[in-house]
Amino acid sequence: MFSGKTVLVTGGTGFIGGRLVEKLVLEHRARVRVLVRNFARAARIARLPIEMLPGDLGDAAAVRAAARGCEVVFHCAYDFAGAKDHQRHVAIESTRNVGEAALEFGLARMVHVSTFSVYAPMPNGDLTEDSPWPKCKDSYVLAKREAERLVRQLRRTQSLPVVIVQPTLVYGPFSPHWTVAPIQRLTTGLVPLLNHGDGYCNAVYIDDVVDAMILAATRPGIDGETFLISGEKPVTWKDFYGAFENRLGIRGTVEVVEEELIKTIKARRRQRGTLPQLLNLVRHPEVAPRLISLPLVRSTLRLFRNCLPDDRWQALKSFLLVSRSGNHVLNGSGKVLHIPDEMLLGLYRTKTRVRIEKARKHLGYVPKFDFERGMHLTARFIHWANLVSDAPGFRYSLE
Amino acid sequence: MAETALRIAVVGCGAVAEHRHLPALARRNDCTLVAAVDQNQERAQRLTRSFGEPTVLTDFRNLLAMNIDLAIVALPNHLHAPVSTELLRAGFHVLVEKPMALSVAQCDEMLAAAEKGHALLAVGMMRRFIHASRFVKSVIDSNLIGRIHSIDMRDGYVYQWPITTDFAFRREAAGGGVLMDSGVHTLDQLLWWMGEIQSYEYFDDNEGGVESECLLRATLQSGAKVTVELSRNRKLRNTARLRGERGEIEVSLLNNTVWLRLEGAPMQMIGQGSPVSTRTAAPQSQVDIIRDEHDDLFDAIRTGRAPEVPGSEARRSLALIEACYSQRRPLRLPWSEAAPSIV
Repeated sequence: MFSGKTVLVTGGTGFIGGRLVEKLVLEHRARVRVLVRNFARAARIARLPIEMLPGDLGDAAAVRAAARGCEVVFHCAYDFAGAKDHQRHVAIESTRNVGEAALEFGLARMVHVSTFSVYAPMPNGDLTEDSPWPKCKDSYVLAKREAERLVRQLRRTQSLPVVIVQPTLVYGPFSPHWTVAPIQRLTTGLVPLLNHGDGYCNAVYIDDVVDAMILAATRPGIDGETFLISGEKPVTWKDFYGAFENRLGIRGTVEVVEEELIKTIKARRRQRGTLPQLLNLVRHPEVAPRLISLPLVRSTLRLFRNCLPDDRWQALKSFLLVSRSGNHVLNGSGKVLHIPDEMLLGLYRTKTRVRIEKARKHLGYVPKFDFERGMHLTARFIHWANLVSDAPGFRYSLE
Repeated sequence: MAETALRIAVVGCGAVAEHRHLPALARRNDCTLVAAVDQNQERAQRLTRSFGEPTVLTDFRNLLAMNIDLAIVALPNHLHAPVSTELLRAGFHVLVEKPMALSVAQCDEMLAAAEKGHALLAVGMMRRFIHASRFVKSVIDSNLIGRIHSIDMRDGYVYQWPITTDFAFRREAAGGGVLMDSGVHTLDQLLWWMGEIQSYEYFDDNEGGVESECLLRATLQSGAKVTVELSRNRKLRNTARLRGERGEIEVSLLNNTVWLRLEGAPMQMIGQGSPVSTRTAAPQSQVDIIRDEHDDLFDAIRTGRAPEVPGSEARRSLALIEACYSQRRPLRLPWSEAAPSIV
């Protein structure tokens, strides 16, 4: 399909873009060009014979230079860094630059990677491409909606040959949000299973998403269309986290009644002082280890440990590392409960069933990885990446 | 400043010059930085201003007319060999960053140039100056834990060196991927500790770029079995574990920590390497390590002895890397479809 054709991928150093680049090169023999803002993140795709151009998606000239001579552009980039307004601005400007470059150089297709989160907060029952976009305050949702509106507008006004894909919760090797983060939650504390964990998790394995994107780039007659991309059927959240627990031999979930959790979240919201917020940030399971690995922090802590009597040191440690306002310690277990933010809470509590009939019919999309198979491969990745090195019998080993 | 102060030029003012060599030189009073070479003149000026404003050049050839004892070559990998060769031939002592070259043929040219110019060629294999790593060498040589039957080295972290270009990811400029970049250190330690390789098999994930994952399995001439695993995508154990007949020694590949376990003993010792001349163990910073590297070379220049890591020593790991690349077999990632996984 792509043999010998040049394809531009934005976000190629990220999770979805990275796997897309691999598949385009290895399975489709495409000539792939990647616009790279931060080369330090490019190690994973540098094993492939691709063209890496230095540049920022906010720089229209750099995007134009990258798009010139391409047949297709996959716009996968989204920058989670920086303040919320900044994120939104970056998302819009990047999408505008990519869309306009696609128009200028007459690309045959732009595949715009959005998310099913544009429909949040989601209702119980079926979700399709015709479902409404209810009122929502989440900045990620708003940014992704605005980017979709922008490409639709370019479709209407200038006939941009764009196809929008809306993946659900994408898990698999290198997935930051739906593989690495869940593992971190399960190994650093407890994940609340709301109402016995019977909410629906619409998960999809990375390779299925990438295959759908490639179909979206090549199918004729679908310009301007939008496609939800998910797995065969949802699993429950109990099954989702349970799959990690069972395959990795860890225990990290706890059943929590919804009212209890809401109460805790409200208590947290009340506490808005700067210092508590900063401390909360410091205590975040993804932030704390990084902070502690800084030489200055490490040497300061070592100083305290050497100077303080043991009990004082323990008290200081628990003050610094164990949150009292939000992620409270569950009685007796000594483990921190990971309080979901509003978006995640919404996902945990609803029974939304994402329908993929449209993608089946018009894209020819057929998910190849059921949850069992996807998790089997994901567990291999987790092994390999040493994400749960302490789990019994689960160190990646060659022996 | 002493009359005999060595006159030094730094060739290449990138990250390793800024964060390692220049801070180490700044601590000394037995040398003078007389020249700095970089394409980015402004950067070279800024980094070396505190050294009494040395001459800043954009072309290293302009050094040849100057009175210089030692050139520290810290350029992108593909320039190591050609630049060092010219400097050595002109009679300058050279400390070249690792990897010393991109091929064994280039190494040999450098060695020949050093001989012709009567100059010393030292290579920045800084891990040989980590105290813990030197302690391991003593433990092996003293036969403390008996004959070593297996060595297991895992060296990997998520790549985050603050690079600004794709130089590290282009084969023609970098000479390879993770094996050439951090593997040259790992293999140098292996060969230094344990001697030559007898047979090996090598796997990596390269599909036409530079590898970010690789695996070497080897048997040494001593009979010991070796596993070396390197990654730019994930955090590995980052230690070398050497198992002997009477115990095991494990050493960090990144810092000065060492574990010593004796067969059947319920207790182990965890500690830091330290010279016998000191009573207490002190942490060894990255700059401390480079200072030791400089100490050794300065002494070698003054006394005429060979430096700790002469070009002929560093050539060994490069020869092994070249051999690995020539025999490479594909490394299947464990989750890839239909993978006859190596796990």
